[in-house]
Amino acid sequence: MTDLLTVGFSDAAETIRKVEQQIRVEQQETVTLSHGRKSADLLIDLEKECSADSWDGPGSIAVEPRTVTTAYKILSTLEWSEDCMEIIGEPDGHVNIEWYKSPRRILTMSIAPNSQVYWAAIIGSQEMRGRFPFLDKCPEFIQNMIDRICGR
Amino acid sequence: MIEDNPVPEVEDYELLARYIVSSKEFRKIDNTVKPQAFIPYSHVELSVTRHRDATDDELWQIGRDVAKQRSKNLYGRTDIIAYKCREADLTVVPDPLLPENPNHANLIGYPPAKEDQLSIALKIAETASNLIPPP
Repeated sequence: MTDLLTVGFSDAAETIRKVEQQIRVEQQETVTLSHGRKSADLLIDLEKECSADSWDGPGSIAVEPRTVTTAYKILSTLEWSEDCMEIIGEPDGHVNIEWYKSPRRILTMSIAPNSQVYWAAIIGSQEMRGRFPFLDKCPEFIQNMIDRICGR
Repeated sequence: MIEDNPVPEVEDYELLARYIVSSKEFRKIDNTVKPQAFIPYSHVELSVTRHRDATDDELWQIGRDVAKQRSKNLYGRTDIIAYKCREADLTVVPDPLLPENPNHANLIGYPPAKEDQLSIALKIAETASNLIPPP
Protein backbone atom coordinates (compact mmCIF):
# COMPACT_ATOMS: atom_id res chain seq x y z
CA MET A 1 0.00 0.00 0.00
CA THR A 2 2.75 2.43 0.92
CA ASP A 3 4.40 2.06 -2.48
CA LEU A 4 1.22 3.04 -4.22
CA LEU A 5 0.74 6.11 -2.11
CA THR A 6 4.21 7.40 -2.73
CA VAL A 7 4.64 6.87 -6.46
CA GLY A 8 6.45 9.71 -8.13
CA PHE A 9 5.66 9.26 -11.80
CA SER A 10 3.09 11.41 -13.50
CA ASP A 11 1.27 8.86 -15.64
CA ALA A 12 -2.09 8.78 -13.89
CA ALA A 13 -3.41 6.02 -16.10
CA GLU A 14 -0.58 3.74 -15.07
CA THR A 15 -0.96 4.75 -11.44
CA ILE A 16 -4.66 4.01 -11.47
CA ARG A 17 -4.15 0.70 -13.28
CA LYS A 18 -1.79 -0.40 -10.53
CA VAL A 19 -4.20 0.71 -7.84
CA GLU A 20 -7.03 -1.17 -9.54
CA GLN A 21 -4.89 -4.30 -9.61
CA GLN A 22 -3.97 -3.97 -5.98
CA ILE A 23 -7.55 -3.41 -4.86
CA ARG A 24 -8.66 -6.48 -6.79
CA VAL A 25 -5.97 -8.53 -5.11
CA GLU A 26 -6.92 -7.20 -1.70
CA GLN A 27 -10.61 -7.80 -2.29
CA GLN A 28 -10.01 -11.04 -4.22
CA GLU A 29 -12.16 -9.65 -7.02
CA THR A 30 -11.82 -10.38 -10.69
CA VAL A 31 -14.68 -8.18 -11.84
CA THR A 32 -14.57 -4.49 -12.65
CA LEU A 33 -14.80 -2.29 -9.60
CA SER A 34 -18.01 -0.45 -8.98
CA HIS A 35 -17.83 2.87 -10.82
CA GLY A 36 -14.16 2.15 -11.44
CA ARG A 37 -14.08 3.18 -15.09
CA LYS A 38 -15.87 6.50 -14.62
CA SER A 39 -13.71 7.40 -11.63
CA ALA A 40 -10.57 6.38 -13.48
CA ASP A 41 -11.47 8.40 -16.58
CA LEU A 42 -12.28 11.49 -14.54
CA LEU A 43 -9.07 11.23 -12.54
CA ILE A 44 -6.92 10.62 -15.61
CA ASP A 45 -8.39 13.74 -17.23
CA LEU A 46 -7.85 15.69 -14.02
CA GLU A 47 -4.23 14.64 -13.72
CA LYS A 48 -3.51 15.61 -17.33
CA GLU A 49 -5.05 19.02 -16.79
CA CYS A 50 -3.66 19.82 -13.33
CA SER A 51 -0.21 18.19 -13.27
CA ALA A 52 1.86 21.38 -13.64
CA ASP A 53 2.16 24.31 -11.29
CA SER A 54 0.13 27.37 -12.41
CA TRP A 55 -2.41 25.12 -14.16
CA ASP A 56 -5.18 27.39 -12.84
CA GLY A 57 -3.27 30.65 -13.06
CA PRO A 58 -0.38 32.08 -11.04
CA GLY A 59 0.00 30.50 -7.62
CA SER A 60 -1.98 27.34 -8.35
CA ILE A 61 -0.27 24.14 -7.25
CA ALA A 62 0.04 20.97 -9.33
CA VAL A 63 -2.07 17.99 -8.33
CA GLU A 64 0.40 15.22 -7.50
CA PRO A 65 0.00 11.62 -8.69
CA ARG A 66 -0.17 10.44 -5.08
CA THR A 67 -3.21 12.67 -4.51
CA VAL A 68 -4.89 11.22 -7.60
CA THR A 69 -4.08 7.75 -6.31
CA THR A 70 -5.63 8.50 -2.92
CA ALA A 71 -8.74 9.90 -4.59
CA TYR A 72 -9.11 6.76 -6.64
CA LYS A 73 -8.69 4.53 -3.61
CA ILE A 74 -11.29 6.55 -1.71
CA LEU A 75 -13.76 6.24 -4.58
CA SER A 76 -13.09 2.53 -4.76
CA THR A 77 -14.25 2.09 -1.19
CA LEU A 78 -17.57 3.91 -1.68
CA GLU A 79 -20.87 3.34 -3.48
CA TRP A 80 -22.98 6.02 -5.16
CA SER A 81 -25.21 6.56 -8.17
CA GLU A 82 -23.35 7.75 -11.24
CA ASP A 83 -25.19 10.99 -11.83
CA CYS A 84 -24.42 12.70 -8.53
CA MET A 85 -20.61 12.73 -8.34
CA GLU A 86 -18.04 15.12 -9.84
CA ILE A 87 -14.27 15.33 -9.48
CA ILE A 88 -12.16 18.45 -9.98
CA GLY A 89 -8.67 19.66 -9.17
CA GLU A 90 -8.32 22.53 -6.74
CA PRO A 91 -5.79 25.37 -7.03
CA ASP A 92 -4.16 24.30 -3.74
CA GLY A 93 -3.18 20.92 -5.24
CA HIS A 94 -6.04 19.00 -3.66
CA VAL A 95 -8.49 16.74 -5.47
CA ASN A 96 -12.12 17.59 -4.77
CA ILE A 97 -14.89 15.02 -4.94
CA GLU A 98 -18.45 16.31 -4.74
CA TRP A 99 -21.69 14.39 -4.27
CA TYR A 100 -24.56 16.75 -5.12
CA LYS A 101 -28.29 16.56 -5.58
CA SER A 102 -29.32 20.07 -4.52
CA PRO A 103 -27.86 22.96 -2.51
CA ARG A 104 -29.11 21.28 0.66
CA ARG A 105 -27.99 17.78 -0.29
CA ILE A 106 -24.29 18.07 -0.88
CA LEU A 107 -21.01 16.61 0.38
CA THR A 108 -17.72 18.12 -0.72
CA MET A 109 -14.47 16.33 0.05
CA SER A 110 -11.01 17.83 -0.46
CA ILE A 111 -8.11 15.37 -0.56
CA ALA A 112 -4.62 16.65 0.27
CA PRO A 113 -1.34 15.12 -0.97
CA ASN A 114 -0.68 13.71 2.53
CA SER A 115 -3.97 11.74 2.36
CA GLN A 116 -5.70 14.04 4.82
CA VAL A 117 -9.34 14.42 3.79
CA TYR A 118 -11.25 17.61 4.58
CA TRP A 119 -15.01 17.54 4.14
CA ALA A 120 -18.15 19.57 4.63
CA ALA A 121 -21.78 18.71 4.00
CA ILE A 122 -25.27 20.15 4.08
CA ILE A 123 -28.02 17.54 4.28
CA GLY A 124 -31.43 19.00 4.97
CA SER A 125 -31.16 21.08 8.11
CA GLN A 126 -27.83 19.53 9.14
CA GLU A 127 -24.55 21.29 8.46
CA MET A 128 -21.46 19.19 9.17
CA ARG A 129 -17.72 19.32 8.57
CA GLY A 130 -14.55 17.59 9.62
CA ARG A 131 -11.37 15.84 8.54
CA PHE A 132 -9.87 12.37 8.67
CA PRO A 133 -6.67 10.70 7.48
CA PHE A 134 -7.39 8.22 4.70
CA LEU A 135 -5.57 4.97 5.36
CA ASP A 136 -7.47 2.26 3.50
CA LYS A 137 -11.12 3.04 4.10
CA CYS A 138 -13.42 5.96 4.76
CA PRO A 139 -15.32 6.34 8.03
CA GLU A 140 -18.78 4.78 7.82
CA PHE A 141 -20.52 8.13 8.19
CA ILE A 142 -19.16 9.21 4.80
CA GLN A 143 -20.99 6.38 3.06
CA ASN A 144 -24.09 7.18 5.12
CA MET A 145 -23.99 10.79 3.97
CA ILE A 146 -23.54 9.78 0.33
CA ASP A 147 -26.52 7.46 0.63
CA ARG A 148 -28.64 10.28 2.02
CA ILE A 149 -27.54 12.63 -0.76
CA CYS A 150 -27.74 10.27 -3.71
CA GLY A 151 -30.70 8.29 -2.43
CA ARG A 152 -29.20 4.81 -2.71
CA MET B 1 -20.22 53.11 -10.36
CA ILE B 2 -19.70 54.37 -6.83
CA GLU B 3 -18.42 57.94 -6.86
CA ASP B 4 -18.71 58.77 -3.16
CA ASN B 5 -15.58 59.68 -1.28
CA PRO B 6 -15.09 57.99 1.06
CA VAL B 7 -16.61 54.86 -0.43
CA PRO B 8 -19.64 53.80 1.66
CA GLU B 9 -19.64 50.67 3.79
CA VAL B 10 -21.32 47.58 2.32
CA GLU B 11 -24.94 47.37 3.42
CA ASP B 12 -26.59 44.08 4.33
CA TYR B 13 -28.86 43.89 1.30
CA GLU B 14 -26.31 44.88 -1.34
CA LEU B 15 -25.79 42.45 -4.20
CA LEU B 16 -22.24 41.33 -4.79
CA ALA B 17 -21.01 39.81 -8.06
CA ARG B 18 -18.46 37.02 -8.10
CA TYR B 19 -17.05 36.43 -11.58
CA ILE B 20 -16.79 32.84 -12.74
CA VAL B 21 -13.63 32.31 -14.77
CA SER B 22 -13.28 28.55 -14.43
CA SER B 23 -15.56 25.83 -15.75
CA LYS B 24 -14.89 23.97 -12.49
CA GLU B 25 -16.83 26.57 -10.53
CA PHE B 26 -20.29 25.74 -11.84
CA ARG B 27 -22.30 22.65 -12.71
CA LYS B 28 -23.08 22.42 -16.40
CA ILE B 29 -26.12 20.27 -15.70
CA ASP B 30 -28.09 23.09 -14.02
CA ASN B 31 -25.78 26.16 -13.93
CA THR B 32 -25.66 26.13 -10.14
CA VAL B 33 -22.44 27.52 -8.71
CA LYS B 34 -20.06 25.25 -6.82
CA PRO B 35 -18.57 26.05 -3.42
CA GLN B 36 -15.12 26.32 -5.04
CA ALA B 37 -16.19 29.74 -6.37
CA PHE B 38 -16.19 30.97 -2.77
CA ILE B 39 -12.91 29.55 -1.46
CA PRO B 40 -10.02 32.03 -1.41
CA TYR B 41 -7.30 29.35 -1.88
CA SER B 42 -3.91 31.07 -1.81
CA HIS B 43 -5.40 34.36 -0.65
CA VAL B 44 -6.95 35.32 2.67
CA GLU B 45 -9.74 37.29 1.02
CA LEU B 46 -12.21 36.73 -1.80
CA SER B 47 -12.79 39.43 -4.42
CA VAL B 48 -16.32 40.54 -5.25
CA THR B 49 -17.82 43.54 -7.06
CA ARG B 50 -20.68 45.53 -5.59
CA HIS B 51 -23.71 46.16 -7.79
CA ARG B 52 -24.28 49.49 -6.05
CA ASP B 53 -24.55 52.36 -8.56
CA ALA B 54 -23.19 50.17 -11.36
CA THR B 55 -24.94 49.53 -14.66
CA ASP B 56 -25.15 46.04 -16.08
CA ASP B 57 -22.67 47.07 -18.80
CA GLU B 58 -20.22 48.29 -16.17
CA LEU B 59 -20.52 45.05 -14.19
CA TRP B 60 -19.79 42.99 -17.30
CA GLN B 61 -16.89 45.20 -18.33
CA ILE B 62 -15.29 44.59 -14.93
CA GLY B 63 -15.86 40.86 -15.42
CA ARG B 64 -14.17 40.95 -18.80
CA ASP B 65 -11.25 42.88 -17.27
CA VAL B 66 -10.91 40.33 -14.44
CA ALA B 67 -10.86 37.43 -16.90
CA LYS B 68 -8.33 39.19 -19.12
CA GLN B 69 -6.01 39.95 -16.19
CA ARG B 70 -6.06 36.26 -15.27
CA SER B 71 -5.87 35.03 -18.89
CA LYS B 72 -9.12 33.14 -18.38
CA ASN B 73 -12.51 32.83 -20.02
CA LEU B 74 -15.41 34.71 -18.51
CA TYR B 75 -18.15 32.11 -18.08
CA GLY B 76 -20.40 34.53 -16.24
CA ARG B 77 -21.07 35.78 -12.76
CA THR B 78 -23.01 34.75 -9.71
CA ASP B 79 -24.71 37.22 -7.39
CA ILE B 80 -24.77 36.91 -3.62
CA ILE B 81 -26.32 39.07 -0.90
CA ALA B 82 -23.93 40.68 1.56
CA TYR B 83 -25.76 39.62 4.69
CA LYS B 84 -25.58 35.95 3.66
CA CYS B 85 -21.79 36.27 3.76
CA ARG B 86 -22.05 37.85 7.19
CA GLU B 87 -24.30 35.01 8.35
CA ALA B 88 -21.46 32.69 7.32
CA ASP B 89 -19.17 34.61 9.71
CA LEU B 90 -17.35 36.55 7.00
CA THR B 91 -16.83 40.30 6.90
CA VAL B 92 -17.57 42.30 3.76
CA VAL B 93 -15.32 45.32 3.34
CA PRO B 94 -15.07 47.91 0.57
CA ASP B 95 -11.75 47.71 -1.26
CA PRO B 96 -11.99 50.15 -4.16
CA LEU B 97 -9.45 49.54 -6.89
CA LEU B 98 -9.08 53.00 -8.37
CA PRO B 99 -9.67 54.07 -10.98
CA GLU B 100 -10.90 50.91 -12.70
CA ASN B 101 -13.20 49.38 -10.07
CA PRO B 102 -14.43 51.60 -7.24
CA ASN B 103 -17.04 48.90 -6.54
CA HIS B 104 -14.49 46.26 -5.59
CA ALA B 105 -14.92 44.66 -2.17
CA ASN B 106 -13.43 41.75 -0.27
CA LEU B 107 -14.87 38.95 1.80
CA ILE B 108 -12.48 38.51 4.71
CA GLY B 109 -12.32 36.41 7.87
CA TYR B 110 -11.92 32.97 6.34
CA PRO B 111 -10.65 30.51 8.96
CA PRO B 112 -7.40 28.68 8.13
CA ALA B 113 -8.77 25.11 8.33
CA LYS B 114 -9.85 23.75 4.95
CA GLU B 115 -12.95 22.03 6.31
CA ASP B 116 -14.11 25.34 7.81
CA GLN B 117 -13.53 27.10 4.48
CA LEU B 118 -15.49 24.38 2.69
CA SER B 119 -18.34 24.75 5.15
CA ILE B 120 -18.53 28.51 4.65
CA ALA B 121 -18.33 28.09 0.87
CA LEU B 122 -21.22 25.61 0.94
CA LYS B 123 -23.38 28.07 2.84
CA ILE B 124 -22.65 30.93 0.45
CA ALA B 125 -23.08 28.73 -2.64
CA GLU B 126 -26.47 27.62 -1.32
CA THR B 127 -27.78 31.17 -1.53
CA ALA B 128 -25.88 32.30 -4.63
CA SER B 129 -27.67 32.86 -7.92
CA ASN B 130 -27.20 30.39 -10.73
CA LEU B 131 -24.50 31.27 -13.24
CA ILE B 132 -25.51 34.38 -15.16
CA PRO B 133 -23.86 34.20 -18.58
CA PRO B 134 -22.38 37.34 -20.11
CA PRO B 135 -24.52 39.11 -22.73
